[in-house]
This record gives sequence, structure tokens and C-alpha cells, in this order.
Amino acid sequence: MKRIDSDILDEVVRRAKAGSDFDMKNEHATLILKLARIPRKNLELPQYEIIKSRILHRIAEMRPVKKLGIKKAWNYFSQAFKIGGAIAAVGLILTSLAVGTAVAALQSAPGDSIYPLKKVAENIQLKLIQDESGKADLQLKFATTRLEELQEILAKQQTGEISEDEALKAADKTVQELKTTATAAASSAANVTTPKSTTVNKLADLNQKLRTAAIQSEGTIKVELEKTLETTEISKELAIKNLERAGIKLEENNPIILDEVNQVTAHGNLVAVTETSVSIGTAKFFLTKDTKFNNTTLKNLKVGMLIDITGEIKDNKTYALEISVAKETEPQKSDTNAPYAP
Amino acid sequence: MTEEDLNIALLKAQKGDQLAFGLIYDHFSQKLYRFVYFRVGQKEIAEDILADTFVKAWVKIGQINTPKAFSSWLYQVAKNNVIDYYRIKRELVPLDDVVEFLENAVNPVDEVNLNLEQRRILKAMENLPMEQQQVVRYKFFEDLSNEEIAYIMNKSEGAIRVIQHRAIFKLKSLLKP
Repeated sequence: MKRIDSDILDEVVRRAKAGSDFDMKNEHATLILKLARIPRKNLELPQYEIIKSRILHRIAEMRPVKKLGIKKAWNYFSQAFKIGGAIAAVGLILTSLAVGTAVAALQSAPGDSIYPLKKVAENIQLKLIQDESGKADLQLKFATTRLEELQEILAKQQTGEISEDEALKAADKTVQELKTTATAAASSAANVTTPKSTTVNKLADLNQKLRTAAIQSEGTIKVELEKTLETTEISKELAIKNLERAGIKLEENNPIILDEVNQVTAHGNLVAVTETSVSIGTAKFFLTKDTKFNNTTLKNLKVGMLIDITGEIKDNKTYALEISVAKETEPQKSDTNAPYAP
Repeated sequence: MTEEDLNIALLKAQKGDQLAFGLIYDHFSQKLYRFVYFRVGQKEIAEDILADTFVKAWVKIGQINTPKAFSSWLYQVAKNNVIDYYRIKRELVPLDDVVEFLENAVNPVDEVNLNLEQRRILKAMENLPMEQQQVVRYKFFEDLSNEEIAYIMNKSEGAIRVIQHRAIFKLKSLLKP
């Protein structure tokens, strides 16, 4: 078979670099020899053995990741419940939430064979919850899970473990489901007449994660995440409105963070101070005999001061538990319509 | 290490044999280090990226079928780690800018000790199409094989040989007096 020029060239290059003899009659031989002889910088060489120990040490410290393939998953269920074949997992999910938990605990991700089982288990869990508030919380939890799955896909694509095409394929469905779940969660939260403060907190948390993921992603995924962000922003507004109806006034940019059930922390400029209450924006905190002033006194509090408040919600009112001054500021005109300035 | 030995080491490593993985590291580390070093220009950074690349390789080794696929995968991951390094360093640099850094970070040529003719050759190289310049640089100045160049440039080995042939042909015509 006649060797093509590029093959012969390759051989010439190889020999030139190795310093071996080769046929100088080749038309390119002279140039190739010159290229091969161009001096190179001496590399600052590492200590390969030390790097090797580092790698082996890191590997040794790694926890083995137990990933069950679909075959092992079926075997697990059929053995555990003494029912044969593929019917096992589906049938058992329908009858027992514990099994659904076990499926979720397998840490399946989009693209894994058993991932659809995880979704079925989540749907069943949702159907079993009657009240809107509980539904909202669960849907928020699932939306957060979808987001974490999406972030894992993005991370894999960035490290080169999967190609961009594979990432887009896996992410596409996840992003759509994220949108659906987040919207459903938000609607449920908006429908609740007295939402739990944790629901708004979870929405705010999901918002923040969506924002981060949108910054880190590109292209179609970025656009879809930004759309989802819009949906949850609107839903957060609706949920906040409901909370306001319950007696907690919150502002657009929400200096209020709801930490636990009925616990509130706030950071902002005082807009009003009286003997019985202090206000940040339109959020009013009633003072009690148990209100603790950390680095100040009630007398020293002035409008415009930047303060931190920890409070609790009781009987549709918010009470200040602890007040601290963050830093001195110029007194501001008391204007409850002024936008919050972080 | 022969291809057969490498295959055996890969199979053992896939079953958790860390010593066998060590042998795989011995086989690939020098070339991979050079590749990374010429893109980041600093020994410590190159060492870190080299270590990270192999740690990732260990995690994913079960999914690699052949030593060839492994080699290809290693270069891809190393390249992506370099991209990430520039992104983190410069806070979300656009990908086009990062690609430029990938090619120009460190010049492997010892420019101080070039004779006139060699300078002329390098000057002429600047007039080659980018792809041809890259292949010549990888082949002659970074000592990468056609296979490795193919991984890095996402082309087939055959395509690389054709580009190399065209580059030499064009360079020769540019250098004609």
C-alpha cells in the first residue's frame, strides 16, 4: 500500500526528534531537522514522586461512593421484600413511603438508571400531604433537590467528566422540572392564608441558590434558570404579602430573614423609635421587659441608626428579643415609603 | 510501559489497586505536567493541576475502557482544569480569552539562544494559519504525539497528520529565499 506523504513525514519527524538517521532525500527533511533542533527552555521539573504520594494519599482518604446500578437496585428490593423482578421496586413504592425514602437515599442523579424511581417516590410523598402549607414546603424541598442535581451536572461539565452536549441533555429536563416544582411550591405558598415563616425563608434560600447557579451557567441553561428565578421572585413577593397580612410587614428587598419557625432576624436603619416599639422599614417590633439591649440602650436608639434585631412572632405580632447597634449613621427623615438601602 | 502493561494496570486500578494506579501515573505524569506547565507557567500551579487531574482520574477510572480513552480523557480534564484556573484567577473570564491564554502562557522555545536562521523559522511560523501553528508547536516544541495533539485539539489523528503536512509544506514555501 502506498504510504501517503503525511505518514512518511511523521516518520521523518520522529527520527529527527530522536536524533536517528533518516532519508535526507525527503523534500521536507531539512526543514524538519531544523525545527527539531530549535532549542527549548529547560522546564522547572517537579518532584514527581512527591506529587504521586499526595495523589495516593488523597485517594486513600476518599470515602468509596456507593452507586447502585439498576440491576443491583432491583436485586436489593427483590431480596429485601422477597418479590421477584422489576415489579418489586414500583409496587413497593406505591405501598410504602419508607421505600421511597430508600430510593431517594440511593442518591440517584439525572442520567442514572434509577433516577425515575426517585421522582415517582417524590410524587407519592406529595400526594400524601393534604395541607397546602406542607405541600409548599415539600415542593420547595424537591425544587432545591432539582437545583442541586443541576449544579452537579454543571460541575461535571466544567470538569470535563461529561461533554457540553451530554450536560445540556441531562440538564434540560431537570431545569424544566425545577421550573415546574418551584412554580408549584410558590403557588402553594401563596395560597396559604397563614404561611409558615420557614416557607418564605426556603423560597428566599432557593432564590439565592438559583441566582448563584444562573451566574455559574451559560447558554440555554442560564436562560432557563433566570426564568425560574423570575417565577420564584414573584412567588416570594406573594408569600411575603401573605405574611404581611399575618401581621409581619416586610419590604421589597427584605431586610428580614426568617431563621426558624416564628423567629425573625432583621438588619436595617431605624425609621421609628418609641417607648414600646422600634421599626425597620415597615416592620414594627414591639418591646417587652425581656427585650435585651446588647451594646446600647433604648434611650440611645435614634432614627437612622443601623441596628440588628432578633425577634419572635406571637399572636400575629413581632416582638424584639435582642437589639444591637451595627454602626452609627446620620439620622434620616422617617419615611416609610423610602426604599430600603442596604 | 507497553500498551499491554498499561492495559493490565488499568484493569487492576479499576478494581481499586492503588499501586497499579501509581504505575499509570508514572506513565502519564511527565507529559501531562509539560502540557499543563506550558499553559499556566508556574511550577506550583502545574503541580496542583496535575494532582487534581489524577485524583479525578481515580474517581472516574471505572468508566474508562482502554488506555487510549484514558489518555484522551486525562488531557481533556487537564485542559479543563487549566481553564478553571484562569476563570477563578480572573473571575469569570470569557472563554475566548481563556483559550488565548491556553496557547500563549509559556513559550517553550528558548528565545535567548536562537540563531538567525531559527529566528527566521519562528517568524515565518507566525504567518501560518492558527491550526497549523498549534500543531507545529505541539509537535516540535512540546513533544506531543499526534494522538495527544488530536485529544487536545478535538480532531482525529489523521486530521492532525494532514495539518502537520500542510504546515511543513507552507512553512517551506514561506522560507524560500
